[in-house]
Amino acid sequence: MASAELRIINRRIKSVRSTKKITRAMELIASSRIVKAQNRMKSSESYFGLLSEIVQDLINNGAVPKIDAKDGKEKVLLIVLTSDRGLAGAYNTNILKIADNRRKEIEQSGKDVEIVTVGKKATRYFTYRKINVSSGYEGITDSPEFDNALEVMTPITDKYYKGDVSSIEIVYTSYKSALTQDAVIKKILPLDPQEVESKSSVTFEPSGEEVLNSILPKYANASFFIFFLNGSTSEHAARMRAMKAATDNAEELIKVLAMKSNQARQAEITTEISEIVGGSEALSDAS
Amino acid sequence: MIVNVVSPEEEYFSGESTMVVTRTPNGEIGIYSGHEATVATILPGGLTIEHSGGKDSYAVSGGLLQITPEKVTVLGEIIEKIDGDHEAAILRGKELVEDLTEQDS
Repeated sequence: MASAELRIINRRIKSVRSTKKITRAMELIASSRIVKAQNRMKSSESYFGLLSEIVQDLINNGAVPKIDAKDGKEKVLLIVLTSDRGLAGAYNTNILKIADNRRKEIEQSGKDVEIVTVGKKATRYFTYRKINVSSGYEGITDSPEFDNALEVMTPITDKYYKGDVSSIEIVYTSYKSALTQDAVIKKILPLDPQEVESKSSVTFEPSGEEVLNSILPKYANASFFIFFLNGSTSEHAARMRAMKAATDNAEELIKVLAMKSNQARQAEITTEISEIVGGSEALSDAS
Repeated sequence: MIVNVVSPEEEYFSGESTMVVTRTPNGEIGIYSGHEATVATILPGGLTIEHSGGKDSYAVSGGLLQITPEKVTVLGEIIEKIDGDHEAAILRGKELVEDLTEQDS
C-alpha cells in the first residue's frame, strides 16, 4: 500500500524519464544533421568562393551594374532567417532581437523597411507585433536546397533590379563551430568595391557590364544560399546543445526524485513496523 | 588543363581534361589548354568535357565560365549529368530552364 507521497514521486519520475527519452532523441537527431549540414556548407563554399572572386575582378575592373534607380524614399529589404520549430535554445530569440533593432535603426535613419521572413518563428514574431511582412517562407529551413534559395531570392533580386529596394540585408546565424554561432547582419547587395589592385587582365565576354549583370543575381542567390546553410547548421547545433542541457537536467532531476522516493518508501516501512510493534505491544499488555 | 565543374550544391567534375565545349553569347566554343584568360556567361544548354577516359556531358541551366591558360572553372546554377552526347545535353539544358520559368509563373 503505497502512500500518496510515494505515488506522486514515482509518477513524476516516470514523466521525467519519458521527457528525457524525447530530449535525448532530439539531441541525437540534431547531431546527425549537423554533420550533413556541415558537408553541404563546405561543398557550396567552393562555388561561392569562385563566384566572389569573379565578381570582385569585375568590380575592380570598373564594371557597374545597371539598375533603374527610382526617386523617393530609400527602401531596405531585410531578410530574417529563423527556424520553423522551437526547442533550439536562444537561436531564434537572438536573431529576432537583432532583426527588430535593425528595423528600428533603419526607420530612424529615415528609410523604409520591407521585411521578408524565412521560418515560421520570424513570421509569427512580426505578424504578432502587427509589423507588415511582405512575404514569408516556411518549411524550407530544415535542410535547405538551392531551389529553395532561388524561390526566396528571385522576387527579391527582381525588386532590386527594378529599383524598388535600394539594398538587401539579411539577419542570420553564422556557424563558427558546434559551440559558437553568432547572429549577424550582412549586406547582400549592393556590393561595395574593395580597393584591390586587379591582378590579371581578363577578357570578359560579351562585356564586363553584361557579365556582371548576369552574375549579380547568381551572386545574390549563392550568398543567400550560404547564409541559409549557415542558419540551418546553426539551428541544428543550437538544438543539440539545448537538448543536451535538457537531458542532463532530466538526469539530475531523476536522481533527486529517486532519493526522495527511497526516503518516502523507507519512512513508510518504518511507520508500518512501528505500527505492528505498537499493535503487538498493545495486545500483550491487554492479555 | 584542370577543369572544375561546380554548382552551389556539389562538385560534378574535377580533373585533367583535353577540351571543354559549351555555349556562350558569342556562340559555341571549344576550349583547349592555353586559352586566353576570359570570363564569360554560359547560355542554357550543354557542357561536354573530353578527357583521357572519354567524354562526359552535362546539362546546364546557365552559369559562368572562368578560363585561365591552365584552368577552366564552370559555375552552373543547376547541373545534371547526361547519359548521352552533347546534343542530348543541349536539349536537356533548355528543358531545365523551361522548368525553372514554369515554377516562377
